[in-house]
Amino acid sequence: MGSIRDYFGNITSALGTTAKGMSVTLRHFTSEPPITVMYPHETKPVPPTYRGMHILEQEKCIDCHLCAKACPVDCIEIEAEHHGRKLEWEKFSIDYKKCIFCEFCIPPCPVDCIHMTSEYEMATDSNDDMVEDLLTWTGLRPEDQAALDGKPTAVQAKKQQESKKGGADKAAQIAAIKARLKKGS
Amino acid sequence: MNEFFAEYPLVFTMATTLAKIVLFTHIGLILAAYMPWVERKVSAWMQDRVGPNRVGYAGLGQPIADALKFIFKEDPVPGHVDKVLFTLAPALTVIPAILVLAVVPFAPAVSLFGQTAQMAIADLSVGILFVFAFSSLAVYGITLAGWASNSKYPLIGGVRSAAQMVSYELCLGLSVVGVFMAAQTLRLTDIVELQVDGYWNMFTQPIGFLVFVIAAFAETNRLPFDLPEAETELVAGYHTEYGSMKFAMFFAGEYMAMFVFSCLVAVLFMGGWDVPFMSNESFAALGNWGAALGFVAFLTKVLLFLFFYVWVRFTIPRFKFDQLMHLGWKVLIPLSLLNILWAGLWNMPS
Repeated sequence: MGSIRDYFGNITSALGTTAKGMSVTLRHFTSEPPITVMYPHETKPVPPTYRGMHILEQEKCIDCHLCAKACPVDCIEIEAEHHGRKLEWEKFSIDYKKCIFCEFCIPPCPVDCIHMTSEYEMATDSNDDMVEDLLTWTGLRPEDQAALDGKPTAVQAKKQQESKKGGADKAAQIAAIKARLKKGS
Repeated sequence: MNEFFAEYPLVFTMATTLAKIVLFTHIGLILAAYMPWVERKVSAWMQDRVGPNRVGYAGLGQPIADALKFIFKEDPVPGHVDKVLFTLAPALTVIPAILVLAVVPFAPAVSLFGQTAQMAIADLSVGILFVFAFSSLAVYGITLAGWASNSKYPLIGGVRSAAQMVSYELCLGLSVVGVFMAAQTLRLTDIVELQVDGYWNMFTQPIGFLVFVIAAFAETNRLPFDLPEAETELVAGYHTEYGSMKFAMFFAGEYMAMFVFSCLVAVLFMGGWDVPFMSNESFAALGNWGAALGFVAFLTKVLLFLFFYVWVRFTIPRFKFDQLMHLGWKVLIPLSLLNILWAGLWNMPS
């Protein structure tokens, strides 16, 4: 049995702790800014060593298949005809349904022609769209690029702006990735 | 016009009453519709989020979108329910809440065409008794919903609601006794006018104010007293089996009850339409502008208290059932009795 003093002590301490809790929520209500990132209108920066979709320097590639052999899930398919030292490319595709983004395909390359970008928006409506041909992929999704000819949506417009800044310029993008990796390592 | 109304005062009374009914119920209903939006926005800001911002400017179209969704949804009635009570229960939660608005004085009396109109729909001499009679009816809606749903979680919710209402109705009533002792009347307009000239009851009777506020949270089934619909343990409590507009009516009933209790707190303890440093004479001197000022002051207090409802909801977690009963019977009732003693000493004729 508690005494009268305990009884009123409990009541006052309950009121005090409640007031303390209420002041915390009020502080967040009045002074803390929201931490929400309004994706897709704005995006968070990805870390420098982020492993996103691949990008290929087709003119450097020698069709050695080392990346495909290194791939633990066999998601890379390469087809090219050799005319002496000249290559006639048919396909260099990555199946992103299988790809685990392990980056094992990058180090074996003897000519350093395959890289990973920070692109991660690869949601599509069909399975077939998940297979990406790196010969045509320039850092933009094909449907995004097709849509660029028509009226772009907000997301596409943003990407279009980025591509103007150098997203479509493969060389610049690759240089940026290299610089980023150097800084990161 | 003036002569006409002087000759037929009944016509004036009927016309103004009709206008008041339309105005005050719509204030209540619109606030009840926008409270979910306020709740979502305020909770978002308290949790450092943004909140609804897609439908219209700052998400202000959200309540309309929600209402449209509720209207166009299928209205399911499960096969195992008691159909009559199942349909009656949502109405029983909304209607008492709206009826209580009838006695709430929103502003000082307005004079129009040489006549005076009280700004309460019905200025009953037993106003607060009317309030308790009808606000207690709302528990029947919830308990009946739990019973009529004929499944386990709604029943537990309904029973909890009944137990909670019985315990907290008591301290709600007892905490107001102090206000009667100070005002010596049950007419809400008179209670407000006494506070306009004197002190607000929340300062003369802080304990009674505290008990009334806590009991008001319990009466409206709001966190931390939302055990009847505790979603973590009872799915959705008493409205588990409900959908479409029937569910929306429970929702509207809860928010209407919040609005009504905010009005009551403002009337009984926060001086109603009083603005600090104003007296009844200064309100009367301003005429109808005084009434408008009082109306704004009253709505400000109500909105502040509605914000307080939301603020508490996102601060204090739900009680366990034994804690709820302990708080109700062992803490609030002794405190409200203490408040009666205090009010008696304070208002002792010298």
